[in-house]
Order: sequence, then C-alpha cells, then structure tokens
Amino acid sequence: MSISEETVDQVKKLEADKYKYGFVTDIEMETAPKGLNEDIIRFISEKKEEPQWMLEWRLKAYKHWLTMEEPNWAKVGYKKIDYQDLYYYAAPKSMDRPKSLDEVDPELLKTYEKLGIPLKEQELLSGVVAVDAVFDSVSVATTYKAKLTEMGVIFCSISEAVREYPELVKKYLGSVVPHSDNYFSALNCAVFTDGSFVYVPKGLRCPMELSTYFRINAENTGQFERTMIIADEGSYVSYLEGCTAPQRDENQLHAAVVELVALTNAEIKYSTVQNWYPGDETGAGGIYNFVTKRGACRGDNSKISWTQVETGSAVTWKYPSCILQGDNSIGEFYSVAITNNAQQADTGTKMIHLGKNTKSTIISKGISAGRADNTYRGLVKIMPKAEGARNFTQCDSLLIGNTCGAHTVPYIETRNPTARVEHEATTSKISEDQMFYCQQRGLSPEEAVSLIVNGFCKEVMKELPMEFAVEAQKLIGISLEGSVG
Amino acid sequence: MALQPVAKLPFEGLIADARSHKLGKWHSKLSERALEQYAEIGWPGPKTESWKYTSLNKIASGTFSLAREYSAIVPEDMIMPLTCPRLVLVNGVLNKELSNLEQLIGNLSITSLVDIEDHQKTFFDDLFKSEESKGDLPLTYLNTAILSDAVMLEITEGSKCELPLHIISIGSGNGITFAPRLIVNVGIGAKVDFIESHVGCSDSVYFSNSVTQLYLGDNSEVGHYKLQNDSRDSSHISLTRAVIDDGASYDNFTMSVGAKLSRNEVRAHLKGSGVECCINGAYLGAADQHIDNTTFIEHQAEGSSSREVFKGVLDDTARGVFQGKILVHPEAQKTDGYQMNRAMLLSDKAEIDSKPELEIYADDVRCSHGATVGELEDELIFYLCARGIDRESARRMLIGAYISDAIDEVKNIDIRSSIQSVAENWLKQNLYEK
Repeated sequence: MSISEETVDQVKKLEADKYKYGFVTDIEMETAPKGLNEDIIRFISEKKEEPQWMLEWRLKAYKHWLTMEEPNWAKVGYKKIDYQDLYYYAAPKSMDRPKSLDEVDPELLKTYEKLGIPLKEQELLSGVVAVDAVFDSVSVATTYKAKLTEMGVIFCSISEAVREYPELVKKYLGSVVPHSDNYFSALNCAVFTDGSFVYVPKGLRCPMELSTYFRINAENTGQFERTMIIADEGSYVSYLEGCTAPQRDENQLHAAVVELVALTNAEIKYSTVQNWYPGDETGAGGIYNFVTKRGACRGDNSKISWTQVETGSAVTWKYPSCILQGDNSIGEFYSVAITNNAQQADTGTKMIHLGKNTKSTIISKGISAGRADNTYRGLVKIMPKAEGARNFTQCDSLLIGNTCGAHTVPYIETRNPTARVEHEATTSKISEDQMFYCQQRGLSPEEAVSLIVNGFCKEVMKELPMEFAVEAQKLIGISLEGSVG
Repeated sequence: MALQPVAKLPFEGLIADARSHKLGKWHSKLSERALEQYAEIGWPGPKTESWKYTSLNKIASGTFSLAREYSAIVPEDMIMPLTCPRLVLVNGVLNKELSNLEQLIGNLSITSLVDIEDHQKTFFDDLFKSEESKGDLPLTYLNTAILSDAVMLEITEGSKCELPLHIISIGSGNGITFAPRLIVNVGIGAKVDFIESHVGCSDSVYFSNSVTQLYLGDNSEVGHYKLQNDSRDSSHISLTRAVIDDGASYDNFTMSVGAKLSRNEVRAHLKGSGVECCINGAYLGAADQHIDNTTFIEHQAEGSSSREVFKGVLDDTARGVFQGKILVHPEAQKTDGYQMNRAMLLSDKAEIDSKPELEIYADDVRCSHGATVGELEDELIFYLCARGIDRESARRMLIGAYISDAIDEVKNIDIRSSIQSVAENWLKQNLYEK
C-alpha cells in the first residue's frame, strides 16, 4: 500500500475522533495543591526524596524566576497563563516505583498500548527500542533496563538518577541550560517532576534506540519534565521522544528542558515527534508547548543532531540549539513544523560556533494551513575564535490557503573572516500544476497534498529513525486533513 | 564632545530651540505632534528589536546643539562625481546660492518649508497616520520635531526629466545636529532620477538625522541613488520612505562609505499592483566604522515584484549590519520577492550581523532570501595567480569585482559609473594604499 493511501485510510479511521490520543485515562491521581510557592517546591522535592542540594537548586531557580518576565518576542499570541491555577505535581496514586512491569497499574499499560507503545510486549519481543514512559509528572516504566545496565548504559528516570547517581547529575545538571536561562526553563528548574536520564559510557555504541513517551493526562496540570543525556568519550546514542495528551477544552502548559552533553568523539542523535493535542478547529484547548532544548558539543569531534516533527500543540515555542565548543564539532537541526487550524508555531534553532572548524546544518520545513501561523526563528553565531567555521541553512515554507502565515526570522552574526555562512529561504505554495499532475493520475486532492507535502519534507524525514519515520509520515497527512477542498 | 549620562529623552532640549525658527503656526503644531510621538516611543535602546545591532548610546550621551550656520563650501571631492543640476542643503537648510536651480527644467517644482503649500502638508500628516510599526520610527519623529527646513520636489504628471537632479546635503560644524528633510512627489507617468550625496566639511563632527519621503504616482519611474560619505567621525541616521502606486517602478541604491556610525533605512510600501521595486546597496567599511542597512518592503497589492541585493566589504574592526524584511499581505497574491545579502570580511576583528526576515500571509507567492558571509577565497586568488597575475593585483581585482556586482544593479548607466568610481577611490585610499 502506498504511503498516501495509507494516510487516507488512517484519516478515515479517525473521522469520528480526529485526535486519536484524545482519550483520558481514569486513574487515581495524587496531586499537590494548586499553585506555586516555595512549599510546593519543597513538597515536590520531598516526594522525590531528593538530597538537600537539589532542593536548594530548585529554590534558587524559583527565586530567579520570580524576578523574570514572560517573554513576548515570539510571534505567538495566547491567553495569559495563570501560574497559580496549575497543579505542579500529579502522579498515578497506585504505585511507588514498580520493580517490574508486572507491578505497573494495568490501566496505565492499557493507556500506553492505545498510544501504540506496548511496554510489556516490548519487554518480551525482540524489539530494538528501550522505552521510558512518563505519565503526567512521573516516570512509570522503563523497559530493557537490565540489558542496558549490563552494558553500562544508565537509562532511568531523572529522579532515580538524582538518588542513584548524584555525582553525575550534580556535575551536568544545569551546565547546558542554567537555572537562570529563560523564563520557562527557570520555572522548569524549580518544579520539574521527572524525565529521562541517559548516560552512555566511554567508547560504547548504544545498541538500541532509547525512547521516552510523554503523556499529560490529568486536568489543569503543567508537565515539566527534564531530560538529560550525557554521551561520554567516543560513545553514540540515538534517542527518541514522543508526546500526546488528552483532548480538553482548556489549555495545558508543558515547559520542558532537555540538556545534552557530548564529550570528545561522542555523538547524540535526538529525534522528536511532537503530537500534543493541538486544540480544536476553533482554536479552543490545546497544549502550550514552551520547551528549552540545548546540546553542548563539549569535546573535539563531537556531534549533536536534532530532528523534530512538530505537528501538535496549540502554541509551540521551541528552539533546540547546539553549542559547538569542541574543535571540529558538528551541530545539525532538521525540522518539520506543521500548523493547521488555529495552531501557532515559533520554532527554530541556535548554532553557536566557538571551536575551530565547527560545522552546522539547518534544514527547516514549515507548512502552514487553515488560520495558522508558522515561524522559523534561528540564530547562527560565529565567535571570533571559530576559525574555519561553516554553516548552511535552508528554510522552506509552504502555504496552503490564504488565511495562514509563514514567517522566517534568521539572525546571522559572524565575527570571524574565515567563516563561511550560507542562508537560503523560500516560500511557496503547492502549485496547481503539481495538483493537476497527481489528480490526473487518479489521486484524490487529499492524497495529492499528502504526497506533495511528504516530498517537501523528505530531507528531514530521512533523518528520522525508521520506526518514527512511518509514524511521522502518517501524522503529516492527519495534521493537514481538511486543509484542502 | 563631552560625554554625559544618557538623558531620558535625548535632544528634547533642542526642540523648543527649533521652534524659534518661526516657520509659522502650522510648523509649531507639527513639531508638537512629532514630539508627542517621539516621547511616546522613546529613544531606541538595546532591547528595541529593530535597533538590536546598532547602538545609539554614543549619540544619546553626546552634547549637540542645533546648527545655526547655513553656508559652506561644497566638498567637491566627496560628492558623487556628476555634472547635472544641483540642489544644496547646508545643515539641513536649502542654500539657493550654492544650488544651480536655473538649469532645472520647468516640469519640476521646488518648494522650501517656509513656502509650503497645503497639499504638501499632507505628506507630514501621512507619517502620523501610518499604521506601520510606529515603534520603528522614533528618529523620524525627532527629525520632524527639530526641522529647520524641508525641501519639496514635485514632478508634474507625465513629465520626463532628462537630467538627473543632484541633492547635496552638507554637514558643517562641530558638535551640531541637523535634520535634512526631503519630500518628493512624482506625478502619474512621470520619470525622474535623483541622487542624494550626504557629505561633510573636513573635520566637521555632527549628527545628521535625515528623512526622505517619496510618493510615486501610477506608472511613474523613479531612480533614487544615494551616496553616504559623511565626515569620518560623524553619525548619519537616515530613513527613506516610499509609497508606490500601480505600475510604478522604483530603483533605489545606496552606497555607504562615510561616517563612523551610519544607518540607512529604506521602507517601501508597495500600495499598488504591478509595481517593480529594487532596493540595492553596497557598503565599504574600515577602521571602526559601523554601517547599518535596514530595509522593509511591504507588498500590499497583487502582482508586484521586489528585488534586493546588498554587498559589503569590511576591514579592520568595522562592523556591518543588514536587516531586511519582506511583508506580504493576504491580498498581495502573485508577489515575487527576492533578497540577497553578501558580506566579505577582510580582518579577523571585522563583524557582520544579518537578519533577513520574511513575513508572509498570501499563499500564491514566490519569496526567497539568501545571505552569505565569507573571506576572499584562496581558490579564486590561486586561479588568477596561476595566470600570471601577482597576488596583490588578484586580491584587488576580486574585491573590486565583488562590490561591482552590487553596483551593476543600478539602472542609470552614468550614475552607475560614478558610483563605481566612488567605490574604487575608497578601496584605493582605505585598502590598497593603507
């Protein structure tokens, strides 16, 4: 079956419920009282059985957050967030950290099955992906742990890492995204509840893809997860991240922080398929996705590659960045951002070149339909010491209909004469010729759009690990449903 | 110039002084309104997005007085080398003795602010009405508030001006500020080329805050070329604002070589359809020069095209800034927009910051922008050396060719070659015989 046919099938299946992840799991939850103050932070820290230094770090971040103002430079508009009207901690009640999957609440397992992440099966079958599942605020299950531990890979929830590997966490936490970095990251530092932690030891090529699935379930909850990946000298790891949330009328806040550290000769590949609930056609509901993602290529010859497919969320504010400190280090950013209906996305990257012969590539594809606004905002900065730095940037936008907008805002700052920086951007629409060609060969308009859009995004899609690429292609078709005809 | 702490609203004290020019009730009202706007927006600081890369702190903290001297000797070696009718402004005030207006042909009228006619006043009103991001124009309001004079040029419907008109703005004096203001109204189907040369008398240190407003009637054809060659320690901040109607064509080129701090901002509002708009430029910077080129092109109606090519060469600790924005409204289908900015850095202390920006709300458009930065490529030098050309000549040849590439965009051939000679002179003085 061709991909486009498959997409159409998928869309048909979803006609009754366009956002198939929009269900709510009825599970007993334990929440902290609404609102944000020092006591809530102490409560979270206590729940997590954290050491004193961790609590102090959180409080320091909170105090700094109070002095900051919410940023308003992005090209997105949303209702003012009442930070006192949110739950900052929500956890499935039934479980302390389960010892094995058998102890996991069956309701939870069912939820993940619906999402297409059969945790249990993966433990049994010879899959290739190890999964850490985060439900609302806490990590509920990590698969393949034993096998990974044997090889020396640490893959666990970040709260577990704080307890078990405090030295590692202490050394790297906040070293890429400091507590004072920006409004949303400061908030995250103060109240983050869980997330994944990965450490790949020297010289090891992680044998399987590591993956986290994030799920916001409870009402009025903010999800603040924190992910850290450390690739020690000469190691390699590929990490996947997926996210979904139930369909609700009110907006939910998601403010995550991801920190990556690649030491000498190490490589990290980070892929995201972001499919938070985007809100309905009128723009009601949906997730506010305010995420700070940053990787540091600390060592020479290190490499960090971000790939993202952004189809969900009502508002996206996200700039996965690379700090290229080591000589010959490489940063890559491949992005597809699709906005439909009333969605707004302001996303892009920052490439900061510090080391000699550092290279960066940025490929960004923005697709805008309905009444959506899609903005690429990026920075390429070549510092005086970055001899021989090289950057290539390509930003393409595709507009479907004349009620949407596509914007490109790149900043290019060069302070070294040997640097070579190239930037290209185009904006276009799906031409009548292309549509005619496809339809003449028997494709419906919907199939034709899906085919053309998938072609438009191909450069990015091919960077995704195979398991994700298939899912992402389908998502693109679904996201654009109803945008033509 | 003594440095003082930054006043809350720089130049506020000079505004009352400017009103003493006694240009009538209308003028003082205009000045009051402009002051209100200026006060509302405030002086652009580091957090003002459109001034992110160009700091005006030094201007704000300097001590300036309003220029009172309106005569000077035209520095012939600094202006664009052209023989054609000229109109001379000294410190922003029209000097009829230095101008050779008698050469001007009848289909062009020139009015000074004292003789302003009612219909010409609307140009000032337009600025207050404009919906465009007002926040970007604080210095334009300041210009209006401290005007000593303004020159209105009107080209009557259907007239074709054979000779270009050379407008020379001279800055003369130390620690002074002035606000040249030029308003050009081009009638339906008219054709005109004009040149602005912004220069300073030797050793003068001043702050020139210049504004040029243009209105292009249907099917008119305008070439607008500018040389910014102000005195080396002076500051030059300028805004060119063009409103362009159906089927008109506008060819703009700016050559920036002078001043310590300069900003050349061009805002083109393509109100009509079928407009052809080119905004091009070249800049050469050495020592501690700071050269900012900011453009904004607004496509408001269907079927217009815009083209931008900017190229620059920067040596020593010079810093270049390029900000270019193209805005396409939902009605502006079939827009064709192209923008290219290239810079060459010759020293490891030079810096270039670019921000090309697209904001698009129509789907049937073709818009693209590109930006590149790099040094002189060794391969190219090698190619020429391999053909018997010595290294230094090869280098000169390549730098010259790099800049001519942008200058070639100028449509008027005579003006193109005089811009070319300005560039060659600059390279000779600042790079080759340094």
